[in-house]
Amino acid sequence: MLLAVLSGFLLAFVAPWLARAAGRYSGWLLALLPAGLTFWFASFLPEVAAHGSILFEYPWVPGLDVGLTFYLDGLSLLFALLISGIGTFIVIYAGGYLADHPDLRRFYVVILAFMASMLGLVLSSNLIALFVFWELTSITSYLLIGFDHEDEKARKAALQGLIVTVGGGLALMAGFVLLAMAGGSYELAELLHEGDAIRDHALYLPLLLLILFGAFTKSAQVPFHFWLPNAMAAPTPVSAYLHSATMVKAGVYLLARLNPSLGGTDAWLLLLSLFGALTMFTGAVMAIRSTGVKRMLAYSTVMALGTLTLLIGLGTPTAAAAAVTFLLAHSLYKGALFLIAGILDHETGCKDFRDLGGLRGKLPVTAAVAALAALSLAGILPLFGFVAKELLFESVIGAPWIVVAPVTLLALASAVLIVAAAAVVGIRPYFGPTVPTPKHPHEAPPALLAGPVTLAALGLLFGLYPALAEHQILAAAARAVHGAPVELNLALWHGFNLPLLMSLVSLGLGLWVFSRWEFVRARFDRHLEPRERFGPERGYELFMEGIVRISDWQTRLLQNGYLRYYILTIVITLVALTGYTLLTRYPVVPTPNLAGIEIHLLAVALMTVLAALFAIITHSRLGAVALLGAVGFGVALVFILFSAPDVGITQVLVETLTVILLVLVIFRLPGMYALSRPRARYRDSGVAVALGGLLVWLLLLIQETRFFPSISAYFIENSQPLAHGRNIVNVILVDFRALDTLGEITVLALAAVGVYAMIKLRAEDRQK
Amino acid sequence: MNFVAPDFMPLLPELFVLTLACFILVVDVFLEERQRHITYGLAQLTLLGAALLTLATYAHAPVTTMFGHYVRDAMGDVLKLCIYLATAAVFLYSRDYLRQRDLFKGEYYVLGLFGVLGMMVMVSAHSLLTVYLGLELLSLSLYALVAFNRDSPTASEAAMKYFVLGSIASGMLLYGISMIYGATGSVDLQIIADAVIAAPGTENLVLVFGLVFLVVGLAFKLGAVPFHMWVPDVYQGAPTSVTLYIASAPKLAAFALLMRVLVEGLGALQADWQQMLIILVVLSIVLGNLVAIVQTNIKRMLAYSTISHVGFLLMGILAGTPEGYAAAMFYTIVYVLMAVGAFGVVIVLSRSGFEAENIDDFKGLNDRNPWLAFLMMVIMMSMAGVPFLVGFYAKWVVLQAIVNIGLVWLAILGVVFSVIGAFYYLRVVRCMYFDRPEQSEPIQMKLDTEIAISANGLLLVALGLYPTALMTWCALALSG
Repeated sequence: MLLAVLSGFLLAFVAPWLARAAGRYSGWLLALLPAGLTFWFASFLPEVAAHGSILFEYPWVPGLDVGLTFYLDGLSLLFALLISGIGTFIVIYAGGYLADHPDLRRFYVVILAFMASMLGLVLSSNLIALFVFWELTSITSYLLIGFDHEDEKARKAALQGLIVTVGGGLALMAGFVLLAMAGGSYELAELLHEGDAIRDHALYLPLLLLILFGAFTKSAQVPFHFWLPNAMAAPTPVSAYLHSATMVKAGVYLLARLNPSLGGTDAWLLLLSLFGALTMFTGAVMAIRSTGVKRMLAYSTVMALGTLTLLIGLGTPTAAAAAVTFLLAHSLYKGALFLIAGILDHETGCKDFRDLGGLRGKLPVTAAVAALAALSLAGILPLFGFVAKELLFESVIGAPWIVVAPVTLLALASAVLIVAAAAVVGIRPYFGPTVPTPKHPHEAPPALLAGPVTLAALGLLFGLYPALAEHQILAAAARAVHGAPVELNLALWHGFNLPLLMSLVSLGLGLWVFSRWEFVRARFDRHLEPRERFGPERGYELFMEGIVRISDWQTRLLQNGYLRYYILTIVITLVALTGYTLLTRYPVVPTPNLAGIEIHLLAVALMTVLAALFAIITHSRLGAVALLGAVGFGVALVFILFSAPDVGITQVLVETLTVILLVLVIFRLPGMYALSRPRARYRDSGVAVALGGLLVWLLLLIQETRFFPSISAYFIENSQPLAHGRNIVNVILVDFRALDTLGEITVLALAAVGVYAMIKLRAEDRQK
Repeated sequence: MNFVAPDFMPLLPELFVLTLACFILVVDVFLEERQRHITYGLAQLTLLGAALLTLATYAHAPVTTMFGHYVRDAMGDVLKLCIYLATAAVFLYSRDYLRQRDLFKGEYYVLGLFGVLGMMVMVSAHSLLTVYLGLELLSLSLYALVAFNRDSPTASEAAMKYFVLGSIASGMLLYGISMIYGATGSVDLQIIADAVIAAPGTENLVLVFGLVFLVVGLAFKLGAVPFHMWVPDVYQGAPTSVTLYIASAPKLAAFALLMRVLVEGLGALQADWQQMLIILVVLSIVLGNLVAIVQTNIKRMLAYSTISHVGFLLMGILAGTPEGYAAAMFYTIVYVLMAVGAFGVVIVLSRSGFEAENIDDFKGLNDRNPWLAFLMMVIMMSMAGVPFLVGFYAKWVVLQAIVNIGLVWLAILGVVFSVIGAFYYLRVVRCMYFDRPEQSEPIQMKLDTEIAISANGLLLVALGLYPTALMTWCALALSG
């Protein structure tokens, strides 16, 4: 199983060389792998139908709870078969469709990697592995949408698709983490049995919302549906494969997969069925409004995705049966229709229904296949689409009372519009007067036809013998979705009942809409166009612009390149953080203990403060430097008065040197100007006062703290016995702290050399 | 008062680097311009020798020496080995870059080695004084390195800003150290740790404020928001070879610094520093990722990306669990590996008279050198945290540590912004693969550079497929 999933990646690595060797038949050669995988997966059909599920385990990163476990049941097997089966035809098709494209080999690499990721996604049992594959499909999808990378629109669409789906993937990841917390495991195989525990967990609603967000973005549900039609910028095989048959169904897969764990609550029912129904209707409306071949198909895919979400949300056994049946039917006919759209484009060079007509003589096989697929899309006897549609109607009528009215109405309305769209797709290009096209059309080569013919034929086969699909796979898939065995009873003819009546109504109305297509489109356009300014796509654009604007704003505010503003920010942050802690934790106003402060100390302090003040307001640079020096000497005096003469002396020396150095430098500077505006000065003084005030407050607060005993006693006791000196200060300087003194002397000497060098340089300058 | 000579054996690697650095400084004076490769070779040999000595004296159990100021333990040794490796790669990648710009001077390597010594001291510091000593030794080397290209006004400006801001940060750090010394009566981290546990309420006040200043100083050195402003300016202004150096190995030392000071020394105040770190983490991750999006200069972009990676690193530490520390260590090592690779590619792309500074310079790299483009893609995707590459596991273990202590919202925030971050990494990938090249000449590398850069990129893949080994190593180093 591991090999089956990874084989796609392995083949992707060597695909360019194989493709080069195989030349024109590269598509047929590379398709051998997906074809083989299809048969291999098919070999599991009997076992899955009999036992329900099989688990494959491979240890990977044991320390992190990430294992490669694969869970194969009806649902994942159905998806695996669709992925590998349709993948086979897509690879063959691409070999013909992109035969002359210079980047064909790169295409093979990405599409095979995508196929492998998609298989991994539907087969993984470990949530983390599932997430990994989920993101990989988003990334490969990005590369495939932007395949035509010289086209600005394609690149934009690729990025849009990536951001929406990866953004959703992120929410999904968060949802998975919560799900694992609620269910106690990262393994789907175990979570499926923890449904009750998860539903009762306090985190149920958040995790549900996060997972739904992920699934909805991936499966293009309203309001995230806008990326899917834009993604049609991709080459047609990609649209057929990723954006119709497989990747966009990943969200649906996830919902179906988690239905036994998460489903059955009111939140699940309401969210899924209402969003699903809304998406279904939106997709149908937009489909009938579109004239581009692929665009119409894309919107009808949105409609199908909405339908699937709705069916999974309903949660009844019939709905589960309808979901898997509809899923299979849709993949078959929509895959075929997309591939036919590609053939039309390839043969005629036209991408719009309005430019096509009367092609049935030129493209007889294509026309026949298109008719079959379109009939299935419209849900007409005796195709598989009909079976699915009947089940859909049956499910919405039998929906829980709370949603039955809106979903039934929306389902019927959507069905009407989709019948009309199917008629446009199946009739318009092939009948009526011949429209001249840029290319001279003739029947497509076998590589292009193989896929549509097979898919349409399967649609017919399953329509005639629905039991075939039911017993092989659908029963098991429905059981996996519903969490309990489901009676399917698929049949073409159930007698005359309400669903059949609805089918007939939708058919009649749909054909009427088709006959007045231009008129309907114009009406829709008139009502909807003015509102599109407020659509979700606009929201996406605003969001992206917003991020850029924030980034820009930050750069101007914080990263302006001026050192002074950097310092300002640091100081403000420090004051704010410390001040906040002070106020919240120690809301005591400190009372300064002034006892014992002598008058000469006060005088020194006053002198220092005055010097600092004058340093600020003076207009002479020399004066400012001198006053700063005075501040330093004041501090040195304080040291000396508190019996730390060595520190005091050092301070005096350092201050002297600094003043001399500054004076020397200052002579080289231009005169002093008022560099800042008064407002800036007030701001700066505010910040300075805040920092100073904070430190004073802090010092007053900790003044009470009793520190460990002073070390002066040690020096007094030991200066004579150990160092044989009576002058304690001298002893400290030359004996106890001899190394310190040596260091200080060295620093002073070095500084003096610097001063000397500067003086000398100045003197030499003068001489010149 | 008897003076007992401390045990110098544990210091052997440091002494070796110090001696050799001084030796190279002298030797270099006597070398001619064209013999400069001897300096380079000696510098590499020094790193090799230090690595061998570290391995030979590998500390299976912690040993303190120099009167408790210095410690050798498994965490320190692992980090030191990573520092040698990263620095060796930096020296190798920079060689041709420097030569093309007439900057191939001995000072680069000597200052680099002194920086390494500073980092080693930081990593093994067991008292606040040694912490400061190591930090300043590193910082001073870095200031000088940034200004290394004296003819470049941007480099001088960057160095000046770096120096002024760095000094302010050092001041705050010292202020914090003095307060903590005041409250506990010692600079020895072990004694501080014991004193903090026993400290009564009022002394706690002093401690907490000492802690605030300490954290501010450390946050500055790390480049966490809002003390990050120097990072983009310095990364952009410094010669790329120096940026490469600043962005890589010092982060390992910074991690050690946080572990030593916050965890070993002030572990009892975890509740306090956790709060502060959360603020730093949120700001760093949000701002780093958002602002990186609009950058057009790749060095600046990587600077902001560093800021967000620092956020993740801090996230692991603030978890305050052994698991979180191991995750942070894993993250740091992986980050350094990615940063060395990313700047390595930037350096390789530059030629004499041309700096590959803009993201546009990566356009069409796939056509000019497919292998290099592939490696850069691996590095970018790993930085973005794309699954199957090691960057993903690094993020994953950190997030798991955070979730395990109940900070789910922070983990979600981290994930949200790392995906926003993925956007700008992928933009580089898009440039390399989708855009037409603006210059057409193929890119050539020396064989040893090519081997090193390939090994660098492939290591990310290999560790991504099998992260357990490194993870176990980190966990073991921290537990023993």
